[in-house]
This record gives sequence, structure tokens and C-alpha cells, in this order.
Amino acid sequence: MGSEPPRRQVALEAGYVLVPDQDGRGPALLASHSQATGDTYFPRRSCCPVTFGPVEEVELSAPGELYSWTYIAQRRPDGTVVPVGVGQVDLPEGPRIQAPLAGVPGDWEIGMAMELELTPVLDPSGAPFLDADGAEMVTFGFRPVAAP
Amino acid sequence: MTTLDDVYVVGVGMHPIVARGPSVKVMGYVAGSEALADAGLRFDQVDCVYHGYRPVDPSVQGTAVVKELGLTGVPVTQVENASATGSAAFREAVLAVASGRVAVAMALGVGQQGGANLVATEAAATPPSVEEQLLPAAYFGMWAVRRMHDVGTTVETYAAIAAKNWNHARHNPYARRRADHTVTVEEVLASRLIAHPHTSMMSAATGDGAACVVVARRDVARRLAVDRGRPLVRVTASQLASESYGPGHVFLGAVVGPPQLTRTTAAAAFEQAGVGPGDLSLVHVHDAFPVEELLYMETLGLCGDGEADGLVAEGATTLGGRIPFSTDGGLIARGHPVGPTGLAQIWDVTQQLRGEAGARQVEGARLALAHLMGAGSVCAVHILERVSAQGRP
Repeated sequence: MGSEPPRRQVALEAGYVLVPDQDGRGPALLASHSQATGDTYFPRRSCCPVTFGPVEEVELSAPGELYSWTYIAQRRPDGTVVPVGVGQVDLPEGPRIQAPLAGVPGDWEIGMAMELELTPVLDPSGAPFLDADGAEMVTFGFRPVAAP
Repeated sequence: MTTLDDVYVVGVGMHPIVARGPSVKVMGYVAGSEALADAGLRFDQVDCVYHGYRPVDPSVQGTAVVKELGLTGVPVTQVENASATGSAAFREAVLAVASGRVAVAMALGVGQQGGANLVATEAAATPPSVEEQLLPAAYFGMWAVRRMHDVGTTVETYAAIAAKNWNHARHNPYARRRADHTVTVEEVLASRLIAHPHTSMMSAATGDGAACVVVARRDVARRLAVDRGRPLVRVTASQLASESYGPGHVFLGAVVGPPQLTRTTAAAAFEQAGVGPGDLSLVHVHDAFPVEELLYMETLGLCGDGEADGLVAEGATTLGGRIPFSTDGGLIARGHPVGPTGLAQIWDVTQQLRGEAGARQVEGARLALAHLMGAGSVCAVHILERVSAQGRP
């Protein structure tokens, strides 16, 4: 038996992250840059939060640094408990991003390099949510940068 | 900045915080009628009502709850500000009296269906939104982990703070969590993990309940206080603020902070009241998780940054210590039904300042601060002081 082709991926919610299957490029976070302040804000905004002036759309994909981490002790319907990582990552452009973390307790250390990834959103049984067309719903998250 | 003149708490009441309460109408009636009886007022003497609740249930009609107290045609306004809902309702009542346009205002908070959704320990059955994936329990878990890295705080310190609050609640008949034994650090650490490093006994208790505070202008308050031989409880500061932008600002997901917001809001409250952190007899904060109590001790100016662990270790924040925190059990043990929580803080503060707090009494309580955060976020800070009915502190 041959392996199944990988499912198409779609963003859980539009406007946060570029998904290659949908956008032709990515993954990259969609952010806003204010020329007036020099700061970059995530998620995208309608105006600069400090000057109320215009912002331009930018895409962020460079690795960042782990500011903090935790994990939720999530209970599955069958009673098993799985750790679900959540972290805050500081990107080189400036913003601090709160997002799911890949890995298990013990993998994460404050200060480590983290890279952006797309991760499926799981239902209570641990299977990915699918949209009406059978595409896998994904959101942005971070994983430790693999050692060279 | 204008000082707050002429606003006094004249009555407080609560419905106990329980796992599953009766209808919101019943809970609201119990809290409201208790507050009116405490004040010595009838419902038709109330000039306006601010009703705080978190509309998780569309059938919870705030005005219907208030009507249980009587049909007087009183103007009713619903107030919502996430976890700070009760504080926001209190603030509106205070400002209504301070403005001079009413003599008596009521703030009533009702909470049902478990209160705040701080933890989602089961995956959602339908796809969550991007925001919904990141809940307060994770946000505070990350604060706790970062503090362990920066300051060296231990899980034992977190557990000690939680145990302190559980043990304070043993003296509070309205609290959600009333242990029948002395709660220890070991017991807290052994409870189920929610979001590392916080266990279930370290997490704000959900529940149903209600709380009510009635405020009045000076002439009304003085008459009522003299009738009952009580000191006056004056509101000397009310501050509410939302976020300002700063380095490391988090915009997405649960944001119940940043800590800087407490620093600036509290500073404004101290200035308005003309007092400093060293003048406080007791403090209430948004202690949904123990790391918050440490951070707010520092951002309220009770000690320098990184020094709060020492205060906890020396017992300073326990009843009997020099600056007790969460004397009624706080969010962890008194509970956090959301709508009532900010008003439950004022309930305890009022009893403390009157000398009516019984086994929870802080000796010689004269000045108190009540702080709450609301996700989104906002920070609410109120300062209250005891004044003799003759006008002397």
C-alpha cells in the first residue's frame, strides 16, 4: 500500500499566519510595522497603537528567543493526560508572541532559539480538526530550532 | 487629579460562593437585601444600580435580577469588565455619588455557570479561535516560570501563598473553599497539575455567587453610621486603566497584565488618596494564581522588585502579619465567580475597617487597597479608609 498524500492545510483563522497551501508562501506571521515608532506589532493592526498613524503589513519568519514556557495538563476523553506546550517567543523584529509550543516538558529552556511552524489544531481525541473540504486546520506555533 | 470626596460604603452583603448556586435572581436578592439591611436602607432609597455580571448565559437578564429587590423604576446599567467586573460596577456606583447627582448607589455582582474560564483542561470539541487557544492559566503559568528563572522563586513559595489563602478562607463563611483542616504546602503541591507550575489548589476557584455594595454621600452615611454606632468607611481612591504599550507587550491570547499596568494604576490611586503603600493595613489583589501575589506586592510598592518572596517567607502577608493579603481567601479560596469578585473584596474590606471581620479581623485595620485585573486588559484599584462618624480617622 502506498502512503496517502498529505492533507491540504488551511489557517484556523485568517489574518494571523501565511499558510503555503493557501497563500503560496509562508509560514510567516502577519504583523504591522509603524515607521513612526520603528516597532512591529503582532497581530496585525489598523493603526499604530502609539501614534495612531498608518502601519504597513510585514511578514515575520525569522527564529526568535524563548522568553517563557508552560504546559497545560490536558485531559483526553479516555482519561489520559497530555502536556500541551504554550510559550512566549521574542522575535528579532521586536514583538513577543504567545503561541503553542511543540515538544514535551524538558524540551524548553528560557533563552533557546525557536522557529515558527504550522501545527494542526487537535480535537479532544487528538485528531486534527478538518474543514468542510477535508483540509487540516493549522495554526502558528514554535518549536526549538533543530541542532545543526 | 481630583480627590474623591464624600463617598462612603454604607452596606455590604453576599450570597455564599458555591459550586452550583440557585438562580441568579435568588443569589442577587440575597446579596442585595443583605447589603440593604446592613446599611439600614430600603430598596426605594437607592437612586441607581450598576449590575455586574459576565454574560455567559443569555438568559441572565441583569435588570430581571435587580427587579427581585423591588420595582422602583431605578435606573439600572449593566457593567462588564472581565475579572474586574465587580470592581467596575463598584467604581460606577462610587463615581455616581461623587458626581453629586445621586445620594445612594448600589453595585450588585452576580456570577453563575462556574465563573471565569481560566483553564481549559480539555480540548475544545469545535475548532477554537486563535485567541481562545491561549487562556489565562497558560499566561500566568508563563509568569510563574519566568519568575523562577529571574528571581529564583520556588514552587514551595507558590504553594505557601495558596495554602495561606485556603487557611484564611476557613474563617469566611461565604468562601467557596472552606477546608476542615489546616492546608499545607505539601497538600497544595500534591493536587492535580493545571498549567505548570500551578496545581488545582493554586488556581482560582470557580463558583456561583453574588455580592452587593451600597455607597452613599456623607450626610446619608453619617446618619446611618451614627444609628449603628459604627465608623464610616470612606472611598478615597478609584482608578481604572487599560494597557499602555511597552517593550515585550503581548497582544494575542489571554493578557491579564502586564505588571506595569498595576504599577501605574496603583500609583495614581495612592496619589488620589494621599497615602502610600506603607500606610496600608490589608490588601486584596487579583490572585488567581500565587505568582500574581508576589508580582503585585512589588508593583503596588510594598517592597522592591524581587523582594516579595522574603515577605511571604517571614509571614508578613498572613493574617497576623504586618501586611495581610487576601484576608477572605482571595480568588483562590474565597473564589472567583467573576461578577461578584470585586464586590466581595469590598465586602471584606468594609468589615475589616469597621472592626466586624470576626476571626478574619486585621488588628486595628484603618486603610485598605483592593486591586483586580480584567483580561483584555484593565486594572482597577480602590482605596478605602476608616473614619469615625465624627469625622476623625
